[in-house]
Amino acid sequence: MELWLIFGLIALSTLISFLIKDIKTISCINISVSIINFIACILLVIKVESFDTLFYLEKILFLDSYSTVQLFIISGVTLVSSIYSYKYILNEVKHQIISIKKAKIFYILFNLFVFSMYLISFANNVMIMWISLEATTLATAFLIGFNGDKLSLEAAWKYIILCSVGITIGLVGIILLIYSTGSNVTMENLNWTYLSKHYSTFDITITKIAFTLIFVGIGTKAGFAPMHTWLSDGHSEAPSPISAMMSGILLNLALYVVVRFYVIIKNIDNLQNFNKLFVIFGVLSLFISSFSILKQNNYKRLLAFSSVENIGIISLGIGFGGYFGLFAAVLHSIIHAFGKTLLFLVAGNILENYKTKRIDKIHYLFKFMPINSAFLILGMLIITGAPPFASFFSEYYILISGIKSGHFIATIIYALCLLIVFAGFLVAFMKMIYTKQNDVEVVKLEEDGNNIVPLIITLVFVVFVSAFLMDIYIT
Amino acid sequence: MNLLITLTLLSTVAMSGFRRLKLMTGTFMIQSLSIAFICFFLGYETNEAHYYALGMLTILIKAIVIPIIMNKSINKLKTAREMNMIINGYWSYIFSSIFVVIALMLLKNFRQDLIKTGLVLILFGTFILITRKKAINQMIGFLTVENGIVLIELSTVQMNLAIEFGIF
Repeated sequence: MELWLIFGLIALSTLISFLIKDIKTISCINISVSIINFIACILLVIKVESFDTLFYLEKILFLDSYSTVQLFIISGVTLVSSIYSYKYILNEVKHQIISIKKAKIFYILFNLFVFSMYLISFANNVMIMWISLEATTLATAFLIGFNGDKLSLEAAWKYIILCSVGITIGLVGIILLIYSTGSNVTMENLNWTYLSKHYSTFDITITKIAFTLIFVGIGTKAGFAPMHTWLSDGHSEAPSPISAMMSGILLNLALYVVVRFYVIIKNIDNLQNFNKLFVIFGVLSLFISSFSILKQNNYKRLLAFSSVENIGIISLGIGFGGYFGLFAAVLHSIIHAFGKTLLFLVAGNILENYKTKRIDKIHYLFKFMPINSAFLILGMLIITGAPPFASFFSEYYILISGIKSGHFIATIIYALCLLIVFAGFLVAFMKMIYTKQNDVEVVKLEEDGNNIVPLIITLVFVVFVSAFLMDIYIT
Repeated sequence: MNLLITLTLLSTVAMSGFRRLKLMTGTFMIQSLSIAFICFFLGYETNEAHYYALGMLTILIKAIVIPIIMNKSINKLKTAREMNMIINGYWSYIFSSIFVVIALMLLKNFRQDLIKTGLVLILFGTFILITRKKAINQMIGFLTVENGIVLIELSTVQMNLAIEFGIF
């Protein structure tokens, strides 16, 4: 019931943004749809807690506890960024940066993007999972090139080429994995629930090749380090609400798909050491991104590199394994989604007033935009893992699980990189907030309190996760 | 059947030396057409309808619609050639022959030739993507990768039609 409500409402909202010309009504409808969807998702989460797994449409769609986590993230971040885009788009239209037609296109693509992300988290059929992952690539490619200038078009082209190639490599992997089951292909045995039970019939050599291809291919979309080059451009060029959604949800979802396949193959004999893939790529992501953060002069790019770093942390958690590692990885993916959303939205506010992405052009933010700079500091503390927030505990548990499972070198690099990232964030943002520029008169900008509501909602989410969700998971 | 596979492989290898953009789209058309005929042939052998559907789709989209769009955008461009490739035609031929050897060596346990051809197409498509600078050539590289996937999918698992359409 809730499922049809979610998909039906998003389809309806797409249709409305296609037909109606008034941007204000479109965005109001968009906001109300995402609020209703959020409530529906919460109901689904409660339902799954009592039923364990739910099946829909002859087992093509299903829900279990891992996908409800994704559902919570998707609906929450979508809610926040749809509220944010209300004022964002109206402002752009008012200043004639974009035309009304383009604003309509924005909402159509926004809805398509959200639709395909919901489909990924619901999908049981692995091919549907793959197809909807590809659909997100198409929708977001146009959203990255939304501004239409040279830089953003280049970023969109890079994104579409890299991610499509990555995802086709993933498809080859999936095809080989299904081939290795040795059975005839029907709708039934493309299902994840079927594959995860019948792992004993797999051909080991083909499965090895297949999972490596899947990991590298879909890992491109998740933003693992050697394949992360699209990410820094793409996230920094996209409109701010979209970058928030991309780095908060989409990276998570791509990792979610990889983990789904990992769950299928991890019980096969001789393949137990495949968690090394997660550890190696996680450490590599951490290492590269932490040093990139240190030398960054563009704050949106800095946040993009921080997404790479956080994906590295999550995949380390999965690679170390054990109860603590997995729990911390899931917790970190939730808190990272909301924390990164907060930071990207604040960055959007700053970008709107200053019209520059360079760190050295922004001074004394603390006096110019006091509310936004307070949120900036809070978001920074959340992302770098300061104690009161849940991110501290998730990073701490990953450290513990690393030591417990005996990956000492990886744990040492992990701890060092966390320190470097903290230093990099401090240097960049303290420069923006506290450095004084002598010859400029300090006047508080009027636009400071303009787009604050979504930031407050995100903070509420973060506090909620930190205070309540952790208790539920620990007990 | 073997003839068609040879045609696919030849058109792929031939692509590596071409500088003229129109020649590229032409060879790409031949490649897609031969893949479509492979689909028809398989459909004739097994009497299954979805092969025919896949073949028709391939002809319609990859052999007619995409080349027409490409030719239109080539006519708009000033230069009809790719001038500075990162790796020139001579070396591209050598690389493509290396790809053929790699595919044959890696997949020597498989009986079917289709999957080997598919791997060659994927490798060569990514090669074009990396070494060419013109956007249209990169598109052709990407579409070649897609053709390779169709071949691999034909040879290993038979999917449902809806999913085949999704892959498309």
